[in-house]
Amino acid sequence: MTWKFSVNFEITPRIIPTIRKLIAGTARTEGASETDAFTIEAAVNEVLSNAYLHAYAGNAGPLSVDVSYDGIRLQILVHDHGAPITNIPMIPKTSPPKGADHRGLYLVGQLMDEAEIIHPYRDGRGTAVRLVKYLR
Amino acid sequence: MLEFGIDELPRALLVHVKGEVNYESAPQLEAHLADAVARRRHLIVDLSAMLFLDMSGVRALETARERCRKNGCALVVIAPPQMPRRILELIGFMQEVPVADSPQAALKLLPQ
Repeated sequence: MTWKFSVNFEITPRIIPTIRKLIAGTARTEGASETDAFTIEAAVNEVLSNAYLHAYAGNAGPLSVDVSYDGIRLQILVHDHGAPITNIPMIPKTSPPKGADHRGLYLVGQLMDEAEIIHPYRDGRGTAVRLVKYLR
Repeated sequence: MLEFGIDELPRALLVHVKGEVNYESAPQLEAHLADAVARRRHLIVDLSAMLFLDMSGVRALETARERCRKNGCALVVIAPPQMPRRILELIGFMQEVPVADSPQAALKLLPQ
């Protein structure tokens, strides 16, 4: 069974736990292990925090989260309309030193089976981050 | 929701951290740990009831570790549950601080 849904909202720190728990709960419903569900929750949290802090410089701004499942892979696409969230083209594969930028993105790459920065996104504005976790 | 408790042990302060550490609550964690470090005692941070941790929480713990080092105090953590532990392992924090399973075990890891 395949499905998809989208959530459009204004990103603020207060809504981040709600969205990350919604997606983790969705993963559990499709049979994700507790480890995978927590992993997804932590990765989504970092991506949402990045959008708030970097795309909108710590202000509220519009965000879209597209979640889809094809029976094997859970994909989460987080898309903002703000400034670039990073100046690097890819998720770092080695840990940046303490105090450096991009440690959150490194973490995201380690937590998920696939993680990709798409910049600029479809309409030429903002950044998308695509996350995938294989549930089967 | 983040809750804190503090116990005065003979050789250290034991700070209990309970709940979710995220962008909103991490400043509370940093402030509580800064207050504890300012007392210039060895510090044991009990993370066993930590339910969630993000990078802002990691940075709060790293800041506390740096402040302890500057004050000549030791920092020992009591191991968090699986998910926060995984975050701290991936970011390298767990490899840099002594980790114990209980306050009693943590006391044994403090310098004499």
